[in-house]
Amino acid sequence: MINDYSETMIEQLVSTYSPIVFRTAFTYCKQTSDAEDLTQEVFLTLIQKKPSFESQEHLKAWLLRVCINKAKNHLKRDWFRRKEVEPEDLAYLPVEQMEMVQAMLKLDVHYRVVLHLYYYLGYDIKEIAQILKMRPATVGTRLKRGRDNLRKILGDDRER
Amino acid sequence: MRDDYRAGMDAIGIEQAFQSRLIERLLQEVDRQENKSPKQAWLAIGLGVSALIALLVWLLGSGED
Repeated sequence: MINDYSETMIEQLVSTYSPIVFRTAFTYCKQTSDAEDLTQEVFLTLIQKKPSFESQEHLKAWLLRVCINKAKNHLKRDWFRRKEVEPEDLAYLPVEQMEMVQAMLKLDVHYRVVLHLYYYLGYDIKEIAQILKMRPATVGTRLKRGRDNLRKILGDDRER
Repeated sequence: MRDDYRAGMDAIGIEQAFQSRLIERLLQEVDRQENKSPKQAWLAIGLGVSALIALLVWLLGSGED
């Protein structure tokens, strides 16, 4: 059972989970500064609500769900300000990785988040369905369409 | 595809400075909550006592009729 929010625990939580939350937020908002703001909001919610968790996996899934909900609200809030955000300049990455991440960020957000949870965080379809609160069949469809679109964007057959 | 994406995302680094700021902000929030709780308790007690006095005054007033 995880329900301790002492200083040491907070430091551990931030060091273990903030990169995952930050990168998930980044897949939504495509900008580091916005991803940092969302990450802070997610952890503040955790500290304010102080929920109890059965396991580390439970805690991780909770953080991701809160992050995704906040990211969705962020996109809704900001749609009038900037309809489509240009992905941040990732030129510092090796070419293949940069192309891959940029291609992913060009996908529709519905496909992007499913692919991110599947490819980056290693969740299976059932787990993604639980996190996103949708049917596994829908996740499967989004995964397939997302991959197809990604291949189109990349313009080559890099699927292995 | 998966490997390139993973490596790419891993390379989008979260700054150490950001993590430190985040920890600091969270600890501030914990402090704020701990300081807020007694205030809320006193406020609740104050409201309860006020309601009780009002009820007594009303009861005494209605008893005189």
